[in-house]
Amino acid sequence: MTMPDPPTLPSCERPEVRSPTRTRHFRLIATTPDCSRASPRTTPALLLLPILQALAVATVAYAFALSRSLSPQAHILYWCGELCLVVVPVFLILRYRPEQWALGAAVASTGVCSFTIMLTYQPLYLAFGDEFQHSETLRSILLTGHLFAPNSSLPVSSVYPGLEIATAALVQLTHISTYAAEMAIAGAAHVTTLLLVFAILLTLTRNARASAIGAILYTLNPQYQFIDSYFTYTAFGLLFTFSAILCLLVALQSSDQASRVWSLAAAAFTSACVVSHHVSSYICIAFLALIGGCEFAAGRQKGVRASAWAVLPASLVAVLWTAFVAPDVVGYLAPVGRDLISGLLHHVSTTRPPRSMQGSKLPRLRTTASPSSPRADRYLEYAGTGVLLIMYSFSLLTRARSRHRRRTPATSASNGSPYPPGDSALVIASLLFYFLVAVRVALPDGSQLSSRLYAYALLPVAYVLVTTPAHLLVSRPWTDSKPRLASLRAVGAAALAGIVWAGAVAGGWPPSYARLPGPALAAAWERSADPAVMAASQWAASHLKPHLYFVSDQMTAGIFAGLADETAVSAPTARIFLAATMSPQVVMLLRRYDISLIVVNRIIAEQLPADGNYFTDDPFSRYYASPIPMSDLAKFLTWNGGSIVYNNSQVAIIALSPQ
Amino acid sequence: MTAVRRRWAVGIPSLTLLVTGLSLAHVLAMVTGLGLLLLVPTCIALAAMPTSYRCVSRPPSLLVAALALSACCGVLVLSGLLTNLVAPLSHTSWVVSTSASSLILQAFALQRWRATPPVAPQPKPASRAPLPLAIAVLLPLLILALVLTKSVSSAHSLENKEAVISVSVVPTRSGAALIQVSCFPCATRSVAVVVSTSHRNQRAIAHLSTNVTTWARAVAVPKGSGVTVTIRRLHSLHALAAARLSPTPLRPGTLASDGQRLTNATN
Repeated sequence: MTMPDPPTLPSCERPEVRSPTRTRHFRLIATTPDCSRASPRTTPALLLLPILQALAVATVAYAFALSRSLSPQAHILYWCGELCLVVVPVFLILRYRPEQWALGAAVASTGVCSFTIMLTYQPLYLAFGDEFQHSETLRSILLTGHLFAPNSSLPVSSVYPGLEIATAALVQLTHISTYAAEMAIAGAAHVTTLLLVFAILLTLTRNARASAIGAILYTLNPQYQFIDSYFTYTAFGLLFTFSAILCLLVALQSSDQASRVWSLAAAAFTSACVVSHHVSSYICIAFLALIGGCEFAAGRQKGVRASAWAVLPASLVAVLWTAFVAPDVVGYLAPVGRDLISGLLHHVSTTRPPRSMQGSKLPRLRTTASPSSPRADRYLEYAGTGVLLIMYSFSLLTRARSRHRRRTPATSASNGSPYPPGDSALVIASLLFYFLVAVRVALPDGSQLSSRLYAYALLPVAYVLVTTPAHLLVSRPWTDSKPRLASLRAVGAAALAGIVWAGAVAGGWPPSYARLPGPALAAAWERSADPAVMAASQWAASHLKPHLYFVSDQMTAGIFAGLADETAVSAPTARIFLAATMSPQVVMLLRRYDISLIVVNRIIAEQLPADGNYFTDDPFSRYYASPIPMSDLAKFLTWNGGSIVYNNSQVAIIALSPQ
Repeated sequence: MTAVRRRWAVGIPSLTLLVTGLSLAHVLAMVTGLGLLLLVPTCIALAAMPTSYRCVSRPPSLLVAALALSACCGVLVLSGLLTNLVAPLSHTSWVVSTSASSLILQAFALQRWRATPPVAPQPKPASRAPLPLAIAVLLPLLILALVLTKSVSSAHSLENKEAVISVSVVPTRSGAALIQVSCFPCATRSVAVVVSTSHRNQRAIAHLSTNVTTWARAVAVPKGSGVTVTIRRLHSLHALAAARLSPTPLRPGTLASDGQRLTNATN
């Protein structure tokens, strides 16, 4: 096995000795020396970056603390801190010319600070609903020592246990708490993923500064700061996907024997990805196959062989895994795909008008659906996406013109291309960005779906961006004699990054109602994980038999299932909770689904649902005009068929009598 | 032999010996996860060695560390999957599998090192001003540590403002029910109250006892016998005070103050 040559530094800073096997990679950047006089080589300037970013994190954390005290200044401070986190590195990297190690440190610092912000939001326990789902799988593994135990809140989580296996190993070997292990694994994956993005771009562009800018661009993904930091299987999916891509790109540039080893490493990473996350594994295999296809089209047999060594074993593992271990994933993903296609083809609103419910007393309802997000957030999101779209389209145009100019017999030969192997695949993959924008525009709730896929699409998009506009910004010779212009360029680029980032924060996660921490809200994801629910869950975990069937509202059910190892039943929940009395129909539903516990969170009788719906498959989603009447919940507390075995100021657990 | 080659010649076997010894000691002692912790530097050494060896002056250490960390996660996932085919995942199985993985990787690293041809070292780059570097690394870490500490206390203060007082019923083998009054997040400071059960709670307990094996012989208290409350332990005064204010106490239980005996009027 031979490691790839070290990433190439610009000609003015590289050691003189170069590998004879290195091709003329990526002339667009590499042929232009990255040594303009307007950008002094001042690595110490970049050493300020971690300090400034840490201060930005401190600002955001202070905003969180203010928000917990319900101070109105919290939002202003929050936005200032968030913008500094992105604007400052873009400015410093473009204005100065740090060395490669400093750029790598800057990228790592960005990842660490981003994760720390997520940690300061709720540093005591998990906060996001999906995390509790994976926590349930982890607890099952720790409890039983075996994989694939059923998971009631997210059934596919148990058949993609990669993340939980590693976390269980850390817990069992080091004896640290489950929460600490979850955060350690998630944090390591988060920072490493960003470094891998940097490494991939460095492998392709051979320009550390452009790669660092590309890595910062990747962090403009709307889900990067929170969703991708959470303890969910996406964290490992991204980690292994990018590792596999890096290995294959290195394989394409290595000698024959080393190429095979790197291809097998890519296959191993893809296999780990298959065990960890379904969508990531499919995207990973598709991308590796795309690289192989592009190599085939370019007539590079070595690249085809390397891709085949990576793709074929990984595909086999994926097929076997899906067929024998996780056949349910098809049923899990099919509705998402169906809704997506029907939404794109027919522009069907996913917000349906409320259905009538037989035998239930309807709560007060709105005549039209409530908006999914505030208007200001939507405008910011459109602005950010628009700026990114314009920059990306401009980059594609520039590339197309540049390719056309360079298509001479000398450069279009298989081994004389000015573009590195893998370039075409990344450019083709980046076109997914247009699809995601279309999804965002066409579907009423397309924001969440498109922003989840940004985590994969922004890597090739960042590559396309740094190979053209960033190239102009970084190393255009005409700026050599104009230092002020260089500063203006850096300020302009930082401002653009700030707009994109503001749009990503506005349209990303957490949603506006949960952007800052504070007192509990109903159906508000992170803001619903409050002490009352945590206390009830912890009590149930220590006193109740696991895997009892229970019903509750969506947020409480997620937390309760994750922490107390009970099994949430979602199908009849709305009908049971929205019934005015414990009618025979309701009792029959409880019997039919073998419900043992009813977990009542009184907050749903005090507040409207921030997310629009109280329950999974809520018939009145986004049509509630008032909270659920307290009498609808009181029926459980006064019913003779069950007993209150746990009660606090907000949550009551009712155990049903045996049948 | 160059200085670098000499360094590796000493370093790799020493590392291998060290990791092997510690792994074996760990397997014998069954203490903390040394096997896992040693796997990380081994993988990093494995991944870094050829690059460091060939391009001596500047190993791209951050990137190598990233790939090595990712490799560690991959090794854990795949070895856990394979281990689970033959044995439950436990402390012992993890110790054995991580130690074995570590040894295999070390053997591979050693073999690769032997196969790598020597390359002359390149001159070191200019010094990087250690003082600013130290400040640039330590100061942000210090700030982040302070931020995290303050965030924890801030989140705690919110929790304390909303301290949750819970009342719950737990049956005991003696035939009485244990009504616990506990405070979250200070869960350890709780007030435990032993109380005989009313007919209502008895039904709940009887039901729960059918589900919870440890509560199998839980309840044998006649109906309507009243509720006798005796506070056994009192760890937290504020929990007791708040328990009195509990909005919907268990029926028909009513909590008494310290040392009092109480008969519930509802029975």
